[in-house]
Amino acid sequence: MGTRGIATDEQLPTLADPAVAAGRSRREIVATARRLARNRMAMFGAIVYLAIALMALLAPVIAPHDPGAQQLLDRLKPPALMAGGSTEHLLGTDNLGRDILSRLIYGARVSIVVGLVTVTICAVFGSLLGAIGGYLGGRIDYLLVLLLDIWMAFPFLVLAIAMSAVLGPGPMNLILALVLSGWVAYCRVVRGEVMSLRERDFVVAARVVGVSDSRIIARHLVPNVLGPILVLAMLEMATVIIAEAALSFLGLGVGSSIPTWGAMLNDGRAYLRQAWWLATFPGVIISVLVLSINFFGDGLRDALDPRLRNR
Amino acid sequence: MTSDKPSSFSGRSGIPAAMTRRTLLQGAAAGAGAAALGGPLQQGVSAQDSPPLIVAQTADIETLDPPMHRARATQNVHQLIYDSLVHRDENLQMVGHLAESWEVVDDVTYRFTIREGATWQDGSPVTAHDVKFSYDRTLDPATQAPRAGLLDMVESTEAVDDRTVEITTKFADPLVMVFLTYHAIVPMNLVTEQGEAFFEHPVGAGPYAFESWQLNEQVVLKANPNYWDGAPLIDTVIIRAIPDPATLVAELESGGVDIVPILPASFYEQVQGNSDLTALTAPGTAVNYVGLNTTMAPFDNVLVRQALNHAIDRDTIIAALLQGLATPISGPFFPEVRGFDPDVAGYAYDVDKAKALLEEAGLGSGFDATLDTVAANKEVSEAMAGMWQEIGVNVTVNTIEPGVMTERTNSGQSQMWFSSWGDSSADAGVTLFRHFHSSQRELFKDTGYSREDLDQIIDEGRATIDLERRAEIFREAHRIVVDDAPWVFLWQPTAFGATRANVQGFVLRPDGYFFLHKVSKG
Repeated sequence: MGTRGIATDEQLPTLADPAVAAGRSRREIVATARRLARNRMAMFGAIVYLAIALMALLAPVIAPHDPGAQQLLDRLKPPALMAGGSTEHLLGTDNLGRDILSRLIYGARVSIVVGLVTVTICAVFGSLLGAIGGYLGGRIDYLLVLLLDIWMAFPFLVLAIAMSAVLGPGPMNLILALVLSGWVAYCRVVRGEVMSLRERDFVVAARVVGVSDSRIIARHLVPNVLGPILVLAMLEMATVIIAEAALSFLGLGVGSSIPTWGAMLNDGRAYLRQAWWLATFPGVIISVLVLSINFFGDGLRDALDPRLRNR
Repeated sequence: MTSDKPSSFSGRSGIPAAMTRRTLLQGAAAGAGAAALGGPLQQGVSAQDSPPLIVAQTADIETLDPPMHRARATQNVHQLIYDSLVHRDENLQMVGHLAESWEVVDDVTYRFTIREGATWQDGSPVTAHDVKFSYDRTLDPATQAPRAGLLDMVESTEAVDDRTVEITTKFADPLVMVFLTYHAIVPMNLVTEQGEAFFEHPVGAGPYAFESWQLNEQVVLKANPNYWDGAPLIDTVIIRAIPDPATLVAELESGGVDIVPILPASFYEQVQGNSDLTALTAPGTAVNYVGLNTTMAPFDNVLVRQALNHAIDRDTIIAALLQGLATPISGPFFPEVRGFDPDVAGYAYDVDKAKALLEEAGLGSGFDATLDTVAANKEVSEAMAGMWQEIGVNVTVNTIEPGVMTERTNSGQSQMWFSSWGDSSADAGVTLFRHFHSSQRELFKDTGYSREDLDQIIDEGRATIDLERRAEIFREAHRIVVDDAPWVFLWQPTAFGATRANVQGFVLRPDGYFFLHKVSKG
């Protein structure tokens, strides 16, 4: 540790010492978690999200039927609570006689996985680029900002449709399309944060004592922007899940043999008048998942916000 | 009528138009003419005041150049703008259109007299030279017309005088007259003068004059007040392209569309239950099938193709998804077709047999495949994919635009595709030639299926004028095609269409074509 020798100097911010920083951030994490735990909406969101994630994970165990199994003669059966419904199909059957509950359970896999994977890739890639641009400044930063501006001017849906047309539908291509559009947000946020952190004393001090740029970015800057990245990731996750549903709705998603909520919504659209349950259940669960993530994301933001700390 | 798919279900069909498709918004002289004339009176409302008649199909037209396509949706619009020598009426009886009479001089010679007073929409008379020009242009190899295959029995066309045209065929063919209904007559002078540009704003001799075409949106037509069969009752006709059947029905229910000539059977109950709408059905003259690309593994193995046939439970699909509006078929023809063999059993639904056939083919563990389909057929396609899953064949349903599908099948890129084939000639010759004769595989790669011995049988049958003998020869071809199974043979759909309840005079024809000049709105 290059900073070890002077880190104890009272004049320097303690965060410059990783050991002290770690101790302090551990304390902060605990405090943040406490604040988060007191936020009922955030906790509700977290529980719902975890429940849906668990449902996705355990799909083969808890789904009552094979999600692809068709019973054409049992098509459009209403949910169990309606006249004509049966407990065999709690949420009814779709236009090909497939069990809607089982398809919803399996469909959670696509939403959860696509959401997690896309957001992780975007956050890592976008944050790194943003941190490099914001820290180094100069020509590299100029080029980065130029790239960001061009990127943001490009209509995402058109990009996704074009990619689907060229590469064909499939989970990998879908994630690629979502990543290509999603990394920009992280890059912008992190770049801005890093630009202000760059001039702070503890960073200046680290630089003065000869810590390398890559080390400063990794040890001093990134930990300090983790909060905003987390909050952004939560809000982006909701956006990504909606985008996945939208692309599946348009038939550009993961492909027809995998049940997804967006595709179910689209298939059900033609039957809105005859059989409302086809489109309603996937619509409701998409809303519930997105809402729960947003509740949690908002709670996280409030918990991390120093201005709200003592409430 | 033969060939050409009923637009909405298939999308398979023509070759991309040679001319540029552009949005054409030019003023139509004919529209002004119609307004000046006023047209006939219908319930006290003169034609120029009538609101437009809006017809919707699931596919846009591919071109305005008559021989440059093989798509039903396109042909339907062409038949309104252009006219043919002869057509069939709603009972499928031959009637004169641009020809007022005809005589069969001998087995291979037909003489037509052009109708007195038949004119182009610019007022000049239709002559025998226009007929010769149109047929010669279609058959000229340089034109590369997809429709040439529907006229290839014609050896030559001669204009004896201005009003007499004589057609000589290569061989005695009982279907010549039927084939002539598929070919529009274009004005020689204008086409020669303007070249390709003519087809951006064509002039025909049909009941409606072209006004504009917005690609993938609509074609607008204006009444031709001088039409030989009387001025159309409605002044403006708009043909809209709405690919999604659910949207189509919603538009019909809300009054955004007056007539939908072809609808998926799944909407039958919904249309019937709506008092604002009239559901129309007629015996169909089409078959639905899944094409299998016999040049690609594993579809090059006849056992695999037979297995795929055995795996489909046609009765259940018809009962559950098609609301009973279809009849299962054993081969490429329905029973009314000359050449249909009632003794051919076809492929009964038998999962065990299908599995055994796959096992025999060395594919006991199944395989992956992709089935191309269009939005209107997505549901049925997915139901079939579910049935193939039962024998271990994992089929991904690929829903694409009709035009893309045409391109993929014509160029032989599709592995499997769901399609439909209309043939109201009630004679196996057309279907056999178009789908199972090697000579057609250059223009339409499709299944890639070709057999020299079958080619000879088809050639012989097509040249046989004795109808009993002809049927016998075609039955032989029928048996070969069913055994080789280049298609998964599915069913003969009952034609189903719908109109707003106030639409009068619209007839749903067995052949799926429509003529609108006698249609009015109450």
